[in-house]
Amino acid sequence: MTRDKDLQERMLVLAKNLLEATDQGKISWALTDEEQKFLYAGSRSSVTIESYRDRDGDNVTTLSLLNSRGTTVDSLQTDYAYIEDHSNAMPWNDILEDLYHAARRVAHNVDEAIESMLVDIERGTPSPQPKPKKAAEDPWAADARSFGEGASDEPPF
Amino acid sequence: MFLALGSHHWYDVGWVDWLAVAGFTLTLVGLYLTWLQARQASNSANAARRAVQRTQQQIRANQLMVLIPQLMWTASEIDSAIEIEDFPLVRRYLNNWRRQAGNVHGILLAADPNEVEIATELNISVSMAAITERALMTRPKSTRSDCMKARQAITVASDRLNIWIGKNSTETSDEGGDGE
Repeated sequence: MTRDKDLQERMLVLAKNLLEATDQGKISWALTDEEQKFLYAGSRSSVTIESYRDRDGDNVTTLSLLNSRGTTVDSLQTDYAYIEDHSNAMPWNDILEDLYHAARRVAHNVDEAIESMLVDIERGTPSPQPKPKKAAEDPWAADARSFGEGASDEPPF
Repeated sequence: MFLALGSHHWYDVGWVDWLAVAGFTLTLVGLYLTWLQARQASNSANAARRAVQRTQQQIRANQLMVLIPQLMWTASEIDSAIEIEDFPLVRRYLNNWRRQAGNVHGILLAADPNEVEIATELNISVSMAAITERALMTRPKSTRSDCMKARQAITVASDRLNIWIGKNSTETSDEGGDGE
């Protein structure tokens, strides 16, 4: 989306700063109603990072800047420069992909999930055994007991 | 001549000299009075500026008192539309939320630049609404769970605004002077 060179460079600086702040745990990303899109909101503007496959099956990652009305005002996405049958990845492709994975990790609390799993493994928590049904839930059990006491030869129904 | 002057004592000065001394004292008093008046004028100008700012903030707060209930109404309409699973209606109300919340956001920060937390919650709700609005547009079949993140963010922002309105509606405006 960005055509202006200066704006493109500023978006790249934004992406780098977001990646650094995410890695340092300074900012947190939120899950959204789109599965592969994550949001970080400031007091006056927000950014989203999303990843999807385009028609050619290539992975595309997009960083979008939203204003206080939720309108996308600028974006930076993974791109390739084609020069005589050769495609060269743009310098920001890696940053955007790293940012997407870092944001996803924070939004889904992946570290916490791994940590709790490691604690459970260390503790050796056994899987819960299925409980036997209680008499009140199983009418046949009560009848079997009374049957066992020789009360009646009648079937329970 | 110097000998003649040296032979005079201080109490030998004439009435003309005393006039000069009195004139000098009066000049000092005059300077002090001028400085005092200038200071008072400056204080009055500052007080007037502060009064204008207070009035502006009061006007903005009053605007918010009107806009926030409208925003609450939109939030409840979003809930109702989700409940009956009318997703085109959900989309329309999400769009309304974005526009109204954007206005409230701007006025809120102008009225009180320290309300950064509420502004951030509002911003989250607006961005979530924008994302969900677009997702509902592109999805062939939507369900209630496709709107839950936006709904949650809107609920949080509404709650924060409710608290703000409760706090500010009970505060009286400072209409007294500064005593300057």
